[in-house]
This record gives sequence, structure tokens and C-alpha cells, in this order.
Amino acid sequence: MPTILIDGNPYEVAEGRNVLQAALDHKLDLPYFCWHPAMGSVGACRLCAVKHYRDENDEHGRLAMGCMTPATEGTRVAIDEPEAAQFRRSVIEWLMINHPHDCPVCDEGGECHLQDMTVMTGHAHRRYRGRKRTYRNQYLGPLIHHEMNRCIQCYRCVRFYVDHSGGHDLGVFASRDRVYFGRVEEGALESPFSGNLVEVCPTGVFTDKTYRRHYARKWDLQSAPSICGHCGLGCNTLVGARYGSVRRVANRYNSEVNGYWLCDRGRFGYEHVNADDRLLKPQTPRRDGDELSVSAGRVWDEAIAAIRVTAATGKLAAVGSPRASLESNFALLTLVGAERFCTGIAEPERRLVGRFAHAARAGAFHVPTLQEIEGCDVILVLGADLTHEAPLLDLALFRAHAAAGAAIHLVGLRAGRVGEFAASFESGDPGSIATRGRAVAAGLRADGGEDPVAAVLAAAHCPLVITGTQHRDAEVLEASLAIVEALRARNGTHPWFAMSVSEANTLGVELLDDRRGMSLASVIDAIEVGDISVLVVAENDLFERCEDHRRLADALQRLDALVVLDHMVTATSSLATHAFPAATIPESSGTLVNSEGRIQRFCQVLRPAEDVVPSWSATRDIIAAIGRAEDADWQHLEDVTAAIEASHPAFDGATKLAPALGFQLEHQPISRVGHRYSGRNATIRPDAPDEPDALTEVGGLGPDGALPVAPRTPGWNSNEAINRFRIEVDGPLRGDNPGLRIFATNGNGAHPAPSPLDPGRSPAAATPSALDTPRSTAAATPSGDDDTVLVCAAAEIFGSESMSRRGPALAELAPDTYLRLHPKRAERLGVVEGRAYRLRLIGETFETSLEAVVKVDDELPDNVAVIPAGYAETRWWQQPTWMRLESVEVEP
Amino acid sequence: MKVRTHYPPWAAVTGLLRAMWIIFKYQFRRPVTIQYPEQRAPVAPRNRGRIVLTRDPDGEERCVGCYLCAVVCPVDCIALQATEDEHGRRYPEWFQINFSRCIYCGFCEEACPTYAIQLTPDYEMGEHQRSHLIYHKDDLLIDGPGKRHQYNFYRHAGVEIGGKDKGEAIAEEPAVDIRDLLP
Repeated sequence: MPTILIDGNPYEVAEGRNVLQAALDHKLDLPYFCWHPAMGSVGACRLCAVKHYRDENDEHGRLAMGCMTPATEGTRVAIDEPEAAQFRRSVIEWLMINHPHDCPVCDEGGECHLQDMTVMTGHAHRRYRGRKRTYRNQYLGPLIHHEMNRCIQCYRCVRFYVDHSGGHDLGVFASRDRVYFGRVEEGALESPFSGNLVEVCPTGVFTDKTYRRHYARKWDLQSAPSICGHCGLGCNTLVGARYGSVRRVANRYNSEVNGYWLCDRGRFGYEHVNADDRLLKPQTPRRDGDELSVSAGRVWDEAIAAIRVTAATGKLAAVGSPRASLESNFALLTLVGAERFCTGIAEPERRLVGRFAHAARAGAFHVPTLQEIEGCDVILVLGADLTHEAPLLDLALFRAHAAAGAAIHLVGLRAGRVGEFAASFESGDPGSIATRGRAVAAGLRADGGEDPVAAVLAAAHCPLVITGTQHRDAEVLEASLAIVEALRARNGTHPWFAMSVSEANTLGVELLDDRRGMSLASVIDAIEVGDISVLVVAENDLFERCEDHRRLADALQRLDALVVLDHMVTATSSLATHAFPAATIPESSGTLVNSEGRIQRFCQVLRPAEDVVPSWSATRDIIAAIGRAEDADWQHLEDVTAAIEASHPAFDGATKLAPALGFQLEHQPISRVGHRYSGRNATIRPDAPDEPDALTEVGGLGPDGALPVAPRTPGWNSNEAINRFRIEVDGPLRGDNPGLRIFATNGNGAHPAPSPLDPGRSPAAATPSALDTPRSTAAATPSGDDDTVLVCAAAEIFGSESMSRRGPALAELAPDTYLRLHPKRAERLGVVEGRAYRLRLIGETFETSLEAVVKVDDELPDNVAVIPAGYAETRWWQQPTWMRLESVEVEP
Repeated sequence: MKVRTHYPPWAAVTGLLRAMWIIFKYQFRRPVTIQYPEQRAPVAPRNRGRIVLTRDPDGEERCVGCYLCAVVCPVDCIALQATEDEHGRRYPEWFQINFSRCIYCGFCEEACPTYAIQLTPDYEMGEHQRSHLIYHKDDLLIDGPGKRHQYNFYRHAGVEIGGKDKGEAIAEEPAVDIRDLLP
């Protein structure tokens, strides 16, 4: 490691660093603007000027930019040198000439890198008395607010938007001192990563428009480490709340997972927590609709009475949820027993998830982190639309492509944004995707063969296969696994394989259900034959998991009692006899398992409204109320986690993810709020109730290690303060990244013995249903002569996810319900592009109707019709289904 | 200082007489006590008492909801929520000060970048119930500009609000034409 001299003191720095990084590694204050740990140096802002001396005899030195000066052995620089300090002060003074008098009304104020740097350089007095330059702002959509006057021309926005994340519609315009950052024309930013501009911009040019409506300063936000619940990647977030509502979501750095970034669904999807249509009071919807006619205690007593009776007769079952925490699911499992517990994942999807999870647990392949994916050189994406399913995976692919020149090959129904930079894209229906995958596997086994994709994969140093669950097609997964297996056989190494899953805890709930309880279809069967008379459903809308809505509604109506715990009003909760409000992710603490098998803890950020409790604690109270208190002797979340750890070896270590309850740092508990939190005495406050974890609303600041509560250190108020919380720039947080990987990894030579894939590893359901047999996508005649098409669903980044689409900003961006067809197929059906139709879709076992705008797409296979996944109108879709289409045009 | 420990025997008499003399002198002075509330003590114009929120010369609320008063408050007695109107003008949606906590230090007035929050000489704020000492925006907002007659923050700020476009603030160039390529 080279040793450099800064201000006469020797510092050891890592290889390949520049002076600015070296200074930040050693926690020295050297101001900067345009340098960003992920985007590197460009030397544009001239702020990190230092005095650079040729050797130890050089007395004069010269000014050099810290970010452009390599920190090689013997480099001698001075930060604290009058000429360099004066230079930096002058740069700031010059930048401030045109900076408006906006700080009081600027959302960046208080976490502004420009403010920090101005204070750091000592520029305190404005000498300029002339006129300031002004710009007109642009409308950039419902997520980002533009205030161009504040710009200091550091180019970070364009470098992130275009160079780092592959966007197209933000650029630099105009010349000389009129340089302008914006779009050619006003309009919503197209990139799904546009929200990162808010954090990348060192001042207030790009600010969060949703935050603006209920703005609070950073020092006033009550924050806690949370996990994004809007896809399976489990990005680390820092949720900020104030006065009982969530105000914003910001990135929480984790070098292995999301780095510095979040996608727009994760950043702006929080609005459902504050929505007006939340379930906030215990109620009896089946009897009274939305009316609140019964007291909360009465609803509780009735529900307990119903559950107590059926628990004795064994006609009780429970449905968990992949969007609920491990603890909530485990509490339900404890209530009904493993045989009567259903994960709440529809069988077509569960089959894929189970196969993946068990193979990964057995060490059949290595599931890479997002950071590792950025280093792959050939990536094959089979049957996944990552832009819309797991947006940050799309960004990782772009980074692999842009930074390391990785070749990305796509085989799928839709290319998404990845198609813009992919080396090849082959379009096909799920059946042909699987066939194509098999062909690649065969090509690999035959030494590359004639297959171009197989040849590239065979030659790769670090090949990666990614698949998704959106087609719900087991054949696609099997084909992907065949490629992985062929890669292992060929290279003799541990192959890399990743799968995007749709929800935050899909893998967790699958691993929790290790003794395979009931499938969702078998739950419905059992209700119909009277084997289940009371059903408890936690945080799940069964209408999103079941095709035949009529049959499901009939079955749910047949139940003596349907007890629903949820934070949203859903179709299921509307049929409930007793509905209880559950806490959302920011309102509770819990554990989630992401798609790379990382168990992560989210901590309660704000106290939920009265009557709202986490599902696990409501379930614990049910267990206690029916006289089985000893089964659920849990006081705190930790106790549940410990019980999970004890009964499920897969989650070993889950209790060590966060500081234990009562943890203190320097004799103070960790506080969710900073010491500058204001307004504590502005009202007469009620006594604080018990806290769920080590975080409290009193006490000291968070530890500056694995669990930073809003990162901030003296002099560094913006998110750039993250450099103070890690040992080296771009490295993991001090005390290592939070989270624990439960899949066997091949890092650092710790190779688990590669085990061949065993198809029998994912156990079958204890009580299978006839509906659980996989439906072949090749069942009907794909001749194209009749009106039968294979109806597939495509995930939409804004709109397909059940929680985020309830927020007004993201709902505005979600496309209208569509039906995409090949032009020939549209012609045969007699439908015209751009018009709305009422469609009847008739399948073999069920039929449904849909109002949708027809879109024509000649890249689609002729025999496929695509609808958006997870919309209110299309949530019945569970797997590709051959259906006959009949259309009636809707009057405009 | 030298402390006297021994007194001569006549000191008791002279001390008594001196005290009587002082009391006698006060017979001819004006009494300090006033008959409050019938009589009022004179208060200096800059005396720090009840806090108000003022309006700018155009009659609009001056407070832009920047939270600086709340954060500087040493007893944390100020709370507010910022919001904005349809033209982008920021104002407090609600604003409350708990006067049972306020120590009238005036830090909020010093921190206020828009001269919105000001301390007035009024100190008569007695209440029978503690909760009545929590003043809300209706109680705080007055109709005049207070001590600063001319200042209007939005005439200086770069943001555009209803009635003030880009380039119309004090010391601003007109908005740049970004399609202009002249050197």
C-alpha cells in the first residue's frame, strides 16, 4: 500500500486511489462537487484543489485537483495550505454568484452539499452585487421537481442519468454560462432511476416532488433503517417520517445490494402508507361494508370466539403472505400448524420459487449480489423483464455493460430497457423461451456448437444466467437450470445464477414453509368440502393469487369466519367477517429475505395509528386468546425471531441482524431522531409506549457502524456524509454491510461442494389440489387460425406492484390497462390500435372480462396476447393461459 | 475586601438611626409599585414578549415554513408544517408555539430568514389552562409587517411564485434563452 504525505503527515492508502479518495478515506475534510464515489473523477468543478509538491525539496508546489492526482507512493500534497484554501474559497464564491437566495424554500436546505462545502471553505460574505442569472424550469413528471436557478454546473446529473444508468432524456443544453440541464421538451423523465437525481445533485436543482407536498427538514425526520418492500431485491432504504406520516424514502448505502441507488418504485412507492383508503380500524366488512358500526373490542371478541371453536375442531387454516415479514408468517404458522399453513403464493409461482430456493440452499449454484453482477462479462437473461420486475437488476446489468463491456443476451417476451444495450434479443412466448434455453444448454454441452449465445457463454470468464418468475413457467426455470448445469460441467466452476422474485419476502416465506403446508388451491378445495370453516389471512389479497375469482369469492363467502389482517383495503378484506388493521413495513419491525437469499431486518420508523399492530403481534394475541399462550410466549419481535431461528435452521443468525432490545451505546439507547429534532415540546405529549426494537425516540445518535440511522457528521449534512461511515470510499460500511446471506456462497475460496441439481428437493404440497398440476403452455393448438391466444402478463414497474400503485404519483405513471397483440392477430380479431375494448377472455376452466386499450406490437409472437400484470383488472392472471378473445368496442 | 468583625458599642444606635433616616427619605420618593392591571409598566419597544407571525408589505404571509425557528428553539416549543399553494409559494399549513415552554430568548426571530417571526412587547398571556398556552397559526398571525416594514422574501428569492415570474426578482437577469448560441 502506498504511503502519501498530506499536510506533512504520512497516510497509508489503498492501491489505485486518487488524493481526494485518500483524504476522504482518512476522514480529512477536502471539499468536492463533481467527484462521486460511483461515478469517479472528471475534474470539472475545481473545488478539490490541493497543493501538489514534486518531492520533499519542493517548496513552492503547484495547485492540482485532488480527484485527478493519483495517490502513488511518496505523493506529497497539502490541503491546509493558504493558496489552495484561497483557491477553493474563490471557486465557491464564483459558484455562489448566481446561486439564488432560496435556501429557506429549498428542499435541499439542511442536507445540501453546496451548503456544506460553502461552510467548509469559509466563504461567508457575498461581495458580488450584480444581477443573477435565471432559468425557466421544466415539468419533469410527478416525481421530480426542477429548479434550474440553483445549478452549479457540476454535471453530476447527466453523468448519472446518461453515463451511469443509461437514460436518454436528460441532457446538457445551451452554451457558455447559460448551460442548462433538462429535457429537450418538458415531460416526465423516462428512466426508472430518475429519483436518484435528488441524491446525486449536490444542490436543490432536482428535488423530490412527493416530499415537497409534506416537506420536513432532514434534521426533523424520524428515520430508521428499512427495507424496500416493492420488489424482491430488498434494497436498503432510509425511511423518514414526521408527525405520524411517512415523508420520504432515501437510499441507505449497502455496497453489496443497492449501493447508492434506488429505483423510482422504491423511492416513491411509500405513499400507500399515508393513503386515505387504508384499513385503520377493526371492522366487519361482510356485515357492514365500510361502515364502522361495531367497537374494536367487539370485533376482536367475535373473531376470537370463531377461531377458538374451530381451532378445537381442526377446521382452521391460515394464509400468509410474501409481502409480510418472516415473523408475521411464522406467527400464523404457529397458530394453525405447518400442515394448515399456506404461504399465500400461487402455486405456479411457488413451484418456481421453491425449486430455486432449495437448489440455492443446497449450493447448486452461486446467487450473486448486485455488486457481483456488475462484474460479470456475459449475462443471459431468460424470460425476465428486469426493468419492470426488479429495476435495480436492470441497473446492475447496465453497469456490467457500460463499465466492464459485458455482453447481455435476452430471450423473453419483452426486452424492456435492457433491450437498449443488450447484444441480442430474441422474442418468444414462454414455451419458445424454454426451448431456446434448452438449445443454449445443448450448445454448451456440445462445446459451444453452432449456437451464438452458447458460444459466447462458453467463452466467458464470469458468465451469469438470470431468470424471472413473471411468466410463471417452470419450463423456463428448468431450461435456465440446464444452462447453469451445462456451465458447471463445462467450466468445472461454481456457476452463477440469479432469479428475480416478485415480492419482498417471497423466498423467506417459501423457506419458512419447509414442511409444505397447503397450496392456495387446496385451501379453496378444503373450504368447498367444508374442511376449513375459519380462515385467517395476513397481508394478502387472495384475488391476486387466484384465477377463478367467482369460485374464490363463493368459497370465501362460505366460510363461517374470514379474519383478515392487512394494511390495505383489498378485495379479500372486503369479504372478511373480521378485518384488523396491520402495520406496514415502515410502521413495524421484521425480517425479510431478498432474491439473493439475504436476510435483512427492517426497523420501525414511526408509530402506527391506534389499533394498528404488526401482524405477528395480532396473531400472537389470537394464539393467547384461544388459550395457547405457551405456544407464543413472545414479548418482543426478537422473541419471534429467536423462535424462527430455533425451528428453522435456514434462518440461523436472524437474531443477530440488529442490535438487541435494550442495546445501548455509551449508556444511551439508539435514537431514531437526531439531536436537532425540533418541536418536541410544542404540544403536550402522551407517554411513549414500548419500543419494538433497539431504536427509540429518545437517547443518543445511532452507532456509526452497520446500522446508520440518517448518516450525518459535523460539517457533512448531506448524504455525502456516507464517506464517514465506512473505512474506504466505495467499500462496505464500517462494521460490514447489514444483512446475512443464507445461500451458500463461493466467495473467498469457501467453495461448497458443487452438488448436481436434484429435482426432488422441493417437496410437494402436503395436500395437493387438482388445480396445482402445471398447465402446459403448449396445450392448445397454436396454429393461429382460431381466436385462441396465449395470454401472458408483463410486469409494469409502476402499476404491477400492489402497494406502490396506491400512491398518487406512481399511479399517474402507470400505463392504462392494455392488451398487446401482434398486428396480424389484431387484424384477425378486428381490433384497432389505440382504441379501448371490452374483452371477454374465455379459458378452459374459467372466464373473465377486461376493459383495455389495444396496442399493436410487431415484435410479439403471433400467438400471444400480453396484459399488464397485477392490475386491478388483470390480477386474476396467474400463469400463461390459452384463452379465446371476444371484443366489444367501448364507446369513447 | 476587609471584613469588619468588631463593632464599637454605639454602632447599634447609629445603625438604627441610619435605617430610620433611609426610611424617612423614601417618604418623599415616587413609589415603584404600580397598580397593575389598572396601571401599566412602560415596556421598551424591543422587549421580548409574545411571538407573532407577520405579513409582508403586500399583505401575504411572510413565513415560508423553513423550520429554522423550530430547530434553533432551545426548548423545542415551536412546531410547524410547510406546504405550498398551487403557484409554488410556501407557507405554513399549521404553526404552533407552546408558550408554557417558551423562554422568550428571541433566537427564532434571529434565525428567521424572512422576518416572519417576531417577538412583541406584549407579555400578558396568562391562562387558566395549560393547553390554551399552545398558540396556533390563527393566534399568531397578525395583519401587519411588524418591525420590518419593507422586506418581502420572495422579491429576493429565485423561485417563481404566483405574480412573480423568473427574472422578476430584485437583481435578477431575465430568464436565459437556452436556444441562444451567441458567444
